[in-house]
Amino acid sequence: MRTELVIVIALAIGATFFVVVVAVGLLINKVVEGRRSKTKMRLYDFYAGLFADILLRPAPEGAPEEALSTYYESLLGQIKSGLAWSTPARKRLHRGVIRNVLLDFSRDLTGESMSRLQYFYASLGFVRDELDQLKSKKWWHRAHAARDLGLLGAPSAAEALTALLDDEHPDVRTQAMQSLVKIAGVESLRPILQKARGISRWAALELSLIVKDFEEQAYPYLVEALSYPDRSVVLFAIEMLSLIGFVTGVEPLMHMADTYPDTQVRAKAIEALGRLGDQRAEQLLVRLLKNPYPSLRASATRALERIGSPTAVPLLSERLMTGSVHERLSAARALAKSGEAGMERLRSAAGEQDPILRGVALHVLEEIEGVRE
Amino acid sequence: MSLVLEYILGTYIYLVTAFFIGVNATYTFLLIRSYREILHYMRHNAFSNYRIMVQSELAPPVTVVAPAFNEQTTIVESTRSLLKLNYGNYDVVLVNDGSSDGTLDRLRSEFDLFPSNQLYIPTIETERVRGIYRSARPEYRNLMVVDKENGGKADALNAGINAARHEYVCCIDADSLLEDEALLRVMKPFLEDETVIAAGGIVRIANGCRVVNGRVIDVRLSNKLLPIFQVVEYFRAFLSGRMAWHGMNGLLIISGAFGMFKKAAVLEAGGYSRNTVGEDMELVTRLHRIKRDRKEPYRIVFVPDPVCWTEAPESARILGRQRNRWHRGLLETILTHGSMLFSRRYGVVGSAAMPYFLFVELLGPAIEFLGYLAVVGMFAGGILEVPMAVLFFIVSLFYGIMFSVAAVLLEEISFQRYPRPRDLAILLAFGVIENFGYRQLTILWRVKAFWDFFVRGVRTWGTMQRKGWDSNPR
Repeated sequence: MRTELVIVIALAIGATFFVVVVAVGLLINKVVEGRRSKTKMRLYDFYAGLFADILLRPAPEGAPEEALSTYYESLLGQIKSGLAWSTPARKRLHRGVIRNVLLDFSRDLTGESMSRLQYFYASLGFVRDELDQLKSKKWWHRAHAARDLGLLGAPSAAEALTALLDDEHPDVRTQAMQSLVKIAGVESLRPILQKARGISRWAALELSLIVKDFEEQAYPYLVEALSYPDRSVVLFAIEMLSLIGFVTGVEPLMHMADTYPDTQVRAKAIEALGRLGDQRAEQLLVRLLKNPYPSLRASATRALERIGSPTAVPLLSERLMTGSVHERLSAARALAKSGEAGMERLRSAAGEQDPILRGVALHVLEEIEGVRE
Repeated sequence: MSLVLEYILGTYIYLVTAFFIGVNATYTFLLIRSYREILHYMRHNAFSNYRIMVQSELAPPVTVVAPAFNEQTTIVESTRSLLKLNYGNYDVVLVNDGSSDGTLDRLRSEFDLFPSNQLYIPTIETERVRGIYRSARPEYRNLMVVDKENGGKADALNAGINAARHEYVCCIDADSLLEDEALLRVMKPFLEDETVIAAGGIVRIANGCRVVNGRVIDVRLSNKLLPIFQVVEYFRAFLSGRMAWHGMNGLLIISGAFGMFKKAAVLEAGGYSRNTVGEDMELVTRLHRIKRDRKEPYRIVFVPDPVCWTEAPESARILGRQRNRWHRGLLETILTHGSMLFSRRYGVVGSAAMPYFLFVELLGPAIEFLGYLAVVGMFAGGILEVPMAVLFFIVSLFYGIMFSVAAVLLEEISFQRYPRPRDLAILLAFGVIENFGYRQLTILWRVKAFWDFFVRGVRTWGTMQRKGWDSNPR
């Protein structure tokens, strides 16, 4: 027993000693880091001022590309010579700050200033460093490098980033997608959507922010993606078509809503048609109200919330009486959009005995008519 | 007789020693596992620009449900804070749980509420709903107030879930403060993995922090002792406990102060139980049970950085009451779902999480308390090996210190919410100091919970006084 206890005590003392040493180390590190971050901020201000100055210097007008490169290189002369004479630690610190300054500037710049920034980034060796990082065994290093290359819009990275679309780690693939779009523009949507697989809702959310910026330019690539084999890509394309709200998307979406073999995709297409609010879809949606699949009927009812249809009033009335609560709400909203006959049905439902039916009708009437004192 | 007593006490000491070794081995395992999970989380989430993404139309709508009972002093500021969350599409359902003070009147006048025809389907049975109110002002159009007869927190949450319009419901305490991007951060696991049915965020202590317009803008430690002890405790519970269980899909608690759920899963489970004071843990355990009974794939996750700031008790009396209630809640959950214990059918939940909560969290304080009594008894009977007992006490203190300090370290290597070196030094110091008195005090409170539950038959919440955010330093 004594021996065991001595072992336990020794272990406990050892572990506590270790933790205390680490704690003291962390405390010292926190103080040192605080000071270092002040130094970094000072350096950041210095380099931000310097780069703002050299970015604002006018470029020689009409100069060929080679001459421009020489001019850009001359602007970096002072910085490069300063770095050349620094100790390795100092050089690392300054390069880190310069990199951050360039990445931060890249978020706001366009045109010739951006080209100049890209040149600086490459000339200072950052692109080479990032490309090396793309080959790292650690996925987070690859993802960071992919993101930074995208921020800078480094054109030389396009090929490496395209290869990264097949990376084993989803975060790396997502960063590569985003960066590729920034570098290669809307054309990159084709390889991205072709290679994408199993897009999660989160990844779709991230990607949507980029695709949305292209607006109608993205349209042909999204329509093409409707025929891709990966279901998540098809769902994403449908979502984006309705989000961008481009009316030429109505025809292909109608085709999918009517004929696609997968009911989940069909349901998504039906709801997308509702979001687009285009009257061309009305007859199809009315027909889908009678579809044998409950999920498709529910989607069609939801889609009609925006479009409405006087011809659908009998079917919507039926849905109002018998559907689930959500379906009843959708049917009531669709009735409200379906002209006087629909409104009449809704008002009469507000006086019915069935509490859910009455509740649904009153709820929707309040939505339409607003506050009633 | 004395030989029998000696034998019993001696055996008990052996049992306590075995328990001690088992508990510390478990803590060590959880600590290592948490470290790995936090590291993975930090790497995985370094790339998301929440500020931009929060505006996306693809972010699914969320209903925030907040129960309120007699909170007239804080309700307006809390509601305003909830209405200012940074999330694209969400609404707030505030449930007035039969307050006897002016909670509803203050809401009515401040937000220009009118009786609404909003559809309310009582899918989960609750006390009678007296009315539903909405705001006449367009800027508060995402606010709904459900006024109901008093039925307790669980009942109020159930009414809020009934009234929720969206697929996801976020249940929070009305007097808690959510950080700007907290909703999107806690939503992220649901969007990455469709099998996620519930997610809990971290709860941090706001005492001492600077709060302006319902936002924590400067994180500081309180200048009072009890809140600082609780900060260290929360680090241990959230960062080195829940993070590890999350990694194994064995998380049994999502704090009532901040949890996001798939509404369908909660409705399917029948909502929060009204028969327990630990309704948050009970619901999560029931969700595990239902999903595993049906062999459906699911995940219940913990997200360590969407922060919910809460006001911690500053007096020992109220803190004691809170800990007593938490322990009774744990006891009720274990009793209710006892059949899950050691059952392979429930996977990691039945074979690891439930036994951990039974032996370490629930019985641990009682065993430790009885250990102290046994030592006193043995000393009185002259059969105590004093040097051994002292050494054992020192060893247990060493381990206690190690785990507390390690929890502070986890915070420091990950989220670093306390930017001042002085605060870090205080936290590390409190990780040591808490083992000399505070820990023993919490053991007493938790042991008293057994007495209250089994002997006195206490099944109620008790009162919890809050000072409100106005009292925090500005």
